[in-house]
Amino acid sequence: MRRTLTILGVASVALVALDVILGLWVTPPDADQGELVRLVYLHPALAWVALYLAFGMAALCAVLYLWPRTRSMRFDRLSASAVEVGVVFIGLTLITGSIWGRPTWGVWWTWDARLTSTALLGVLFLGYLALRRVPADPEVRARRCAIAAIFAAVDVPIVHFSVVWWQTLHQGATVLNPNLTPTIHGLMAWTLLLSFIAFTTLFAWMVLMRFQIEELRESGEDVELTRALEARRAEGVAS
Amino acid sequence: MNAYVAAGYVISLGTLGAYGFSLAIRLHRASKRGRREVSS
Repeated sequence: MRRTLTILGVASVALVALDVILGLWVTPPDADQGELVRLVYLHPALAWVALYLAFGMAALCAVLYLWPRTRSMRFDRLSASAVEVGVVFIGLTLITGSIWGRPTWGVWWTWDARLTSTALLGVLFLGYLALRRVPADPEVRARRCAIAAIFAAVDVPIVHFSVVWWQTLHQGATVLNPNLTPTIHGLMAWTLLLSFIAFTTLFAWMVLMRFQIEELRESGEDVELTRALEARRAEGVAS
Repeated sequence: MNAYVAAGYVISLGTLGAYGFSLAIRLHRASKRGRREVSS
């Protein structure tokens, strides 16, 4: 595990650094957007990680936890790890989108369907993290959180299709559009692809670290509980 | 460089860097504590 974490860490830092170099200094400015196009090498990749990887993984692990045949506390821990990392990424998605929107649309924020459903998704998963802090038996907490994760993840397809279902200010998909005809090409397309790979690797590294912390914490609590039980038994024998 | 672009990159990379660093520190502390508990 330690070796995997080191490899993922080095790879993600190198890939993100390459994405930044290409995005800021090598790719040309866009004909319409000018220099602002450079935010495209951040924003869509951050949204991809938050929406599809983090919250998709959280929902999948929640289903696996609730399914009696696959029930394991490891799925609960993995789900919680993915949500925590996902909340960081969705926060950055909203911030970078807002920074791009100010010079492009003239406003920092608008109640557009895509923006509103994304913000709602962030709030729902913040609620999930709050629910995890409510004191309860670990199994009860895991069940509650799994239901909350599935409930919150219902918003993911709404965010995805919001630009198709409603007349929105937010543009439609550039690469994964309904006709599957990418409207970006050349070095810009490769840099965009690299940004997706780089942030996916970074996500994997962060989730794995977060998961390891949770595993160590749980095993530490088990050791403490065993010691406390042994101490009580010893007291019983002495008296 | 455009100020909006610079702000976007600084905020994103700064946040991810800080969060990644905090995870690494927390993991280091948790494994140190785990080793100590096992040895005692």
